Amino acid sequence: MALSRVLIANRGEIACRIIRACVEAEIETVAIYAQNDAGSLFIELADQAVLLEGDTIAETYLNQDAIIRVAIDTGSDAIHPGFGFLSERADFAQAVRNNDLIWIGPSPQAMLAMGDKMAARITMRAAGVPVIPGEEIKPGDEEAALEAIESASHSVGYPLLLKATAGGGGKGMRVVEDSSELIESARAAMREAAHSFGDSRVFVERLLTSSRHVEIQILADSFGRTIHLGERECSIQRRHQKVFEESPSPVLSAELREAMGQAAVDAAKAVDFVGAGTVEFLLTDSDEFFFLEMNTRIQVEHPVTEMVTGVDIVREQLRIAAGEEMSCGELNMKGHAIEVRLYAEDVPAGFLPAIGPLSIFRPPIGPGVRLDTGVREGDEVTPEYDPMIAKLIVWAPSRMEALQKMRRALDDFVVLGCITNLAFLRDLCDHPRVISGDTKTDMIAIEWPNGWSAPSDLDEDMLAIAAFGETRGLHKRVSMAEGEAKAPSVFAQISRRFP
Amino acid sequence: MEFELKGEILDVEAGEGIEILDSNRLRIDLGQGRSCIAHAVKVGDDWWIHMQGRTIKARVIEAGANIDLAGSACNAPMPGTIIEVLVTAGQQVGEGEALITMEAMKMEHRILAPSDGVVDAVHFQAGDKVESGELLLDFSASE
Repeated sequence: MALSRVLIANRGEIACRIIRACVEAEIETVAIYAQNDAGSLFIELADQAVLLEGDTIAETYLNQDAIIRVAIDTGSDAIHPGFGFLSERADFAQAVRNNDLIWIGPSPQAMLAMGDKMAARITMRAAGVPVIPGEEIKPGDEEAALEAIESASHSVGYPLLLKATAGGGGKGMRVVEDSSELIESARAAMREAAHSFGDSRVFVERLLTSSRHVEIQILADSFGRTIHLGERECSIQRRHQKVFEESPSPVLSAELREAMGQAAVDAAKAVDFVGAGTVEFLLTDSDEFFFLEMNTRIQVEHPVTEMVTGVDIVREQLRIAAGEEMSCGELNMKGHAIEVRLYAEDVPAGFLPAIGPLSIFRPPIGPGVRLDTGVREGDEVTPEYDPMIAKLIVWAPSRMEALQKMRRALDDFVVLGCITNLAFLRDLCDHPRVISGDTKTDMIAIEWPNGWSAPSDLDEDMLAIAAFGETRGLHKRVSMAEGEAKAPSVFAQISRRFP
Repeated sequence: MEFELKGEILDVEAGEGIEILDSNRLRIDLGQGRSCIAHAVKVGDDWWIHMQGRTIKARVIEAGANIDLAGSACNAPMPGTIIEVLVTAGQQVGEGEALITMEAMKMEHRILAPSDGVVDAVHFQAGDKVESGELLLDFSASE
């Protein structure tokens, strides 16, 4: 059935992205929001917005019952979960369906099969997709889990990776170099997993150092067609969170792309996957690839695939959910796309999250430049949510031209009032390993072992500008403008009364 | 006029060849007919400047102000919530030992002992919300 009104169970940047796709598909949108998001952009973009009472994420963006009630009350016929929050909760997908609403995503069965990272490993092995050596941890209380992790560590070996069974996005994940750190790291991983996903289970995997993170975008409709849209190279990460993503990968041959694409299609078919998903692989120097996990939702870095394939993945999600065939043809990758994630964080201080007002927020524009964001100038970055402010995406005919366009775009990007990783992203574009495409998941730690510090070549000039601003009272002009805005409204004179 | 930039106090003269375009935009004369646009905004005591892809945050130092530059390893590095206090007052700890775990933006951070020493007092307990820079505990380094 055609969709007429979609509720977006998310916030920020991805809520904006989905709302815009709905507007273009002539579908009405309903936003839900927590009180601390009352002034956010996504609420303005939606046709209607409903406040969810409560101070915690559990009471708002993770509140399954309340969200379904809003969907029913507003006459919505579908729910789009975006990424994060409830996007990988099979029980929520099931509850949505039980209430005769369309879930814009795969079946709860497919989500369960892939959402439990350990069960997914077993399914993939059976489907002939290679997996990383690792061991499952049987559910139990914390002490039992710690014991099981201890014993698994002997067979898996160090360095190892603790991963949340229900995880994603680097949350609940810990690298353990040797046995002395194991128990403390396991406790922290379990606590973070419980907090982020409501599920404290973790499992143990061998850490394959110096490998690449390459993922394949999948689309599947309910007519039995499952295709891949090529790869995304996402090896440049800090704390297991991606910061720089590109498509195509600088190292994939056509043959390897086809092999990984086929493995991803096999993985999706093994769980009867319908919708948009991503199969993540680790790729070694010897072109061996291992299944990491499948994300059964739209991903943060989906725009790079959209730029090189010309496919609007969110629009296809809406078509597939409405029971239509997907509209894209055969894979046809053209040119090169790069995405960087603008985070509110202090890179020299070890990538610590930062907060503050976006007093000036002026993104770059121009041909081949795309910005996906949920903020605008004057908004405030707060500690309640993820520190990602925006995604800057560029497209150009070649990788070198795309890198150059990214340099230009980053130089044009003005963000003042809140510390960001902008200068770090710009520095990445000049790094020889990024230029040559020699990117590995441990690259940031290896290239900046003592941390990164910002270039200071223009510090003196900029200080002279600051001193100029202070002596000339530039900031007092700002307060004058504010004063003008506070003048009585001309509309205050309107005094229409009913007779 | 004095500014604090990246932990250093610097004496700065106001630049010349700057034209005010509006309250946040300035045209900077680069000589030989060339120019570029700089952005400037003051938030609290901090001047934020952007020019040619670079950004700084510089704090205006009021004449005669007494500035504590060093900060402390035992202050909250960011606003967030205390998850766990791993030490008690009077406890002897070694360098790098975890003292407190806190959380912000769904990420965990550990506050580590800056050196061998003694925890004199703990100012917060699990569940407390703290502001950036707040002193979490009193710590004295051993000789």
